[in-house]
Amino acid sequence: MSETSITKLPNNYNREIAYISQFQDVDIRQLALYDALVVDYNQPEACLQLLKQCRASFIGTLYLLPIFIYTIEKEINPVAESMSDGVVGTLQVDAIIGKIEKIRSRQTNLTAIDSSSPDIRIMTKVLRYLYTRETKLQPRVDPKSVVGYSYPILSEHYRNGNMPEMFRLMDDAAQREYLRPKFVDRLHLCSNCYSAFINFRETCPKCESGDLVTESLIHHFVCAYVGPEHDFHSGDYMVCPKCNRMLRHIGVDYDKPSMIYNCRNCSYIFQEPVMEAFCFACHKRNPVEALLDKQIFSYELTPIGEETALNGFGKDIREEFELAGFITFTTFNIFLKYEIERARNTQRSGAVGSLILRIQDTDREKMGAGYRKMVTEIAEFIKNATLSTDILSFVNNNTFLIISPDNEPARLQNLLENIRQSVSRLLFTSLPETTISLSPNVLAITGDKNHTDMVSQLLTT
Amino acid sequence: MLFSYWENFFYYLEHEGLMRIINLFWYYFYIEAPRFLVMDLVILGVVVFKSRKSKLNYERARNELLAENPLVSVIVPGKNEGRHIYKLVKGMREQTYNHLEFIIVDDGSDDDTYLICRNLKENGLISMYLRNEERGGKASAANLALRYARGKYVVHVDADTSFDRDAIEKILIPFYVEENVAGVGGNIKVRNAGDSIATSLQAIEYLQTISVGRMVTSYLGIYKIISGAFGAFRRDLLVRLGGWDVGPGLDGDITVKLRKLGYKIRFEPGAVGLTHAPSRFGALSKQRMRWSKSLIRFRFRKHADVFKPQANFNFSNFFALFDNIFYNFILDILWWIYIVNLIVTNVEFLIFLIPLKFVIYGVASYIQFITAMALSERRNQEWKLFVYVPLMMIYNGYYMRVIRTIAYFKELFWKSSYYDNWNPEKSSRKAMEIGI
Repeated sequence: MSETSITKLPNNYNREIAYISQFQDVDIRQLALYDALVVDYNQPEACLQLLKQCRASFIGTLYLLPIFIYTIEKEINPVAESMSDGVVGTLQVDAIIGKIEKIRSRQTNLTAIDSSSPDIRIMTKVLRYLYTRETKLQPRVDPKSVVGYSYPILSEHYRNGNMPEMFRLMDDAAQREYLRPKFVDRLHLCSNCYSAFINFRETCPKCESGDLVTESLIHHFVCAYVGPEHDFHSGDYMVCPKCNRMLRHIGVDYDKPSMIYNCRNCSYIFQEPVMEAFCFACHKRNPVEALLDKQIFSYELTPIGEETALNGFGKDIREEFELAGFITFTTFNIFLKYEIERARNTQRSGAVGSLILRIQDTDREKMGAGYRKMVTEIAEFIKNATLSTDILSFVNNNTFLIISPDNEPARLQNLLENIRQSVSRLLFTSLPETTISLSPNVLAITGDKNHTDMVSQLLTT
Repeated sequence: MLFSYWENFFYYLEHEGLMRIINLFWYYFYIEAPRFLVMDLVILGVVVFKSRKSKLNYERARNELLAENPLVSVIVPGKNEGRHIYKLVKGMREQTYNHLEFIIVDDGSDDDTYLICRNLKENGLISMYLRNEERGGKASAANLALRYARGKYVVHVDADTSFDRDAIEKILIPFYVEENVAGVGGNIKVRNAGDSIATSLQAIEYLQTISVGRMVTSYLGIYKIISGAFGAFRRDLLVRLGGWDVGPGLDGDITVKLRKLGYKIRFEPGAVGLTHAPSRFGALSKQRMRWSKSLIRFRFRKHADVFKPQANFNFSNFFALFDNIFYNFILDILWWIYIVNLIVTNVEFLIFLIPLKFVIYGVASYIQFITAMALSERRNQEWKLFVYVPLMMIYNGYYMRVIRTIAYFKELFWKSSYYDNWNPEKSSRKAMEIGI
């Protein structure tokens, strides 16, 4: 940490308040030592990055740190503003001390919560942030967010395309009444990547081209001729090609009963183009009806949420399914790490695999509690189909992970494929109307691998 | 009592003598019988005789059609016809001739036609589904289909008509039998003959006036109406004419326009389409009233030029329309004079005349029915209609005549076809303004 980048703001309140105007050498871990932070908005992008880093941290003293933006400009990035605790035009501590004291005092009420579950850790952050600020979680329009909105404390954890998880977590929080949702907007997202950056376009039903010309059809009353508008064009006038009479007055001489589309690519004529939603992010051409209909809410802390923020999640409240015989994700990571080390030392390789349960959000919502039952049944099936030496875990409520020590990747691949087929058959028979699929993925455990990379590869494939 | 009646009846017959009876029923013996019985029988005899000779030519034409295999556009304009369209399209898939495109034009339907047609389109059963939110009338719907049709021939069908498997193939063959054929009319029969007395009588009527009658007029070159329910046209000629004009009676109108271009119109008895006839006399009266008004509107007014000596004068067109006007309109008025005269001058003999008339017309109707059966391809089903044949005298002789007379008067004096809601008011108003 450079001495020049952080300055302490003098005050009579016995508070360590740091002022940052230079961002390049700032080590954010050090910031946790301060009671509050004032960041200069002279480098907006760097300022935003610093805010994001703080809020993305899992260290309580860091993500809950009161941070104020100092600027004399009126225009300020709304995302940056939403992550801060306020914008000030002066470096006088008096202006912000009230808020700092309130946050700090509420912060002291919090008891330690220890959880390895990402869902619990993120939800804890959200609840505590809202509790200390006595505010609500307000989404901001954010062109850089894949869904077009971002939440101050939440979105930083979901930058890698796992938006479904963010929506699921928040729905779950609302359902468990930690948070009270209030409608803000309705989104139509790409069914493949959850992107809101979508181009709605009319396409030819035959060749799917977007190169279309539209024209009105004209009905000439007196002779019953009907044709596209260009049939009637004659210089500056409109003349009927059948009877040569001039069309003077709509509603009296003629009307326009409908429209006609002409595809310039394949010459197909039609009246109902196919509406398509092209995703700029993943290039998927979605049928409009296949777009995901998601609602964006602002969230207010409920008394249950407040209690949870203070004391943690009760024993009966589990955000992840507990499956008998399946170890936690944290333990799984440790096992994998050891397996890699073992491979490095003994020159023997094993295999690790995942089986991701893919289900449309709408279907999952429809299933309700049935989803949990289904997952338990699949887990039971997997347990019976695998060896007793295999290490099993379940994460994100949708992914089964398997470490198969001393096993060839090809054999594990075969095993997962067999499981996939059997489960698919079972699902098709018992739930024919839902679209559920399982996608297996296998990696070889070799000494040169990194367990974090491997897991993220298994989870995102 | 009954015995004495018949005694008197036969005494009356004997006393009056055959010539006196013929003269008494002059209207039938001198006007109707020569045209609709004798001439039909003679011409049919000739047709049957010649058909043996023309069989080779017909086979050649068929081979030529199949070798060329032109695209044929089947166009179906209509409003609220969704429930029929599904059946129609399914039936059309059974056709022996299958190089077809289907164009359905939905003329402002307000029922589930849109959903049905969209579904058919999505499943690839129809080539094009065009919908006008605003109703424009049948002619405009047909013209829209024509605008986007690509086939060499256009087959215009009504949605409630269904077809024999070879109907499309057969309706196309006349284009290859001889040159300069602009349009071919299909043979329309009644599908729901068993529904009611009204439909049974219409079934017999269709057999007489369409299946037999049009075979005769086609042979004579005076066939003047290709039914909207089933007719094939050369697309290039339809385009040249700008398609159909504002109806009602647009099918007869387009046929006359094609004739005026100097082309031939043919009837193909083998191309059979079955249509749904009105099963109540109320609906039937309304339909016939509309058809009859179009005789005045189109034959009398719009196409009156065929009677004038001019550069385009053509005898077959003259006779085609003359036959139509003379037998339908002029003789209709003459009939009223005849019937009043018959009653006034023979009031004491009416008790004998009425059964006599029934006998004469009954015999004639049976001759016509037997002729139709001899020519029919589905006589096994149709012969059952023979029990209704005696009623044809009342149906044709009185019921239809009264309807026609009312329609003619309404149209002649009040131009009432322009107020018929069969056509949208906006089109009728403009058509009336310029007198077409």
